Amino acid sequence: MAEVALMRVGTPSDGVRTEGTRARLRALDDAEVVGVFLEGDERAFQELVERYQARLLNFVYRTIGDREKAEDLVQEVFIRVYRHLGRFDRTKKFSTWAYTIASNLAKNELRNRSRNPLVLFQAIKRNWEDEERPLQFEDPASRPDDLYRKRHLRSLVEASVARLPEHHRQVFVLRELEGKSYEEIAEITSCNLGTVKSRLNRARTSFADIIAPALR
Amino acid sequence: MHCGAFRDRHAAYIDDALDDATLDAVRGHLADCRACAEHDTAVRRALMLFRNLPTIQPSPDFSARLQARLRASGYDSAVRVDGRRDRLGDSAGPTSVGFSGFASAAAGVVAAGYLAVAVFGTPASVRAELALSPVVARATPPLSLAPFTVQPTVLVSFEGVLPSWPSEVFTSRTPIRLSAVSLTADSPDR
Repeated sequence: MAEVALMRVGTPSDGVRTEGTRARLRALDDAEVVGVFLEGDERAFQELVERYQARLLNFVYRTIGDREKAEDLVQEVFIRVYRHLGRFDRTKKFSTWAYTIASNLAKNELRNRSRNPLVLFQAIKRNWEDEERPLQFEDPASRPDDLYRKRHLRSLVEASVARLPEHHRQVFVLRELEGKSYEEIAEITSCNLGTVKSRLNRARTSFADIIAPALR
Repeated sequence: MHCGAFRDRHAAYIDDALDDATLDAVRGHLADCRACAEHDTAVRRALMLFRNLPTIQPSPDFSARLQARLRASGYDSAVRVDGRRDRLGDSAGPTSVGFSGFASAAAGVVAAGYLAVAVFGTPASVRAELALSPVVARATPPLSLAPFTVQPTVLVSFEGVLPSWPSEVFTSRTPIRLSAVSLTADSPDR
């Protein structure tokens, strides 16, 4: 049961057993964890969530630029993973499959936004409000001018990535942030290898061209 | 190596994916071409900035919300799509019926209806409402006309030549027969 898998609490002895199970699951690779889940141990699903939630969140966030929506989409990824894991081809990499689902959801989100300007406005407004939060939560050790410079630079980079065409941005993020191989990116984005190389090259050049004036 | 060839290989150069010979050629071009060297530097700087963006972490309630969504989606103690029942829950929760299930059900209803019509026939009330009466042309009963008589005065006026029948003879009989045809709806019982 998903609830049990996600919120497992119990007696101290249960806790010891659960910790032991977690440690055992952590030692397994993805394919083995999937196997454990398919054999009926739902705790393996939580292990997959813990392994991929931050990575998928960063990928989706860098693709769509809206943190809150990115979390929703990553949750949707895990719901689909839970639902369809029984059909997953275990000869393939689990991470590629999960990223493919995330990539498709991100693409759909961007498509929906382009059809609904209000959604886009709300996302921009929310991000702007995030920027207005007090600074002290970020890095208390930094000097204010340093904080400002870092934040400014971060905004510049994010804005520059956002200006890349969607199909370039996905390849760019998968390669530069997630460190995916060309072959994996081709599988995730349903493109051939040549297209991936071409898009990555163009995305890198475009990104450098966009951000260069701000760095002078 | 010319600039175009360098640009084509630049992504592989950054990813350290070039063979030794090509790598030497690229390095030779960078040493000779200032524009490509500047391009290489600009791309590497930009990528360094992007790769060093701080990562974001899921919010603290991520797991709780995921759990709630899984429950709302009906996967909590439910039979999964792959048909395997959860070990930890035995109750028959809601299952997801996809389009194929809906299509199968619809096809079943249509087939059952067709079969019923074929076996039991169409009910009389439905027949009466749906069947259109045939349209037939029917002449009214023949008119009982008085025997034709020619007025003696008319014949007298044409004496000695072929009789020329007065036009009133025709207008008084033929048009009546033709115009007496009426279109009426036939009874469905016929």
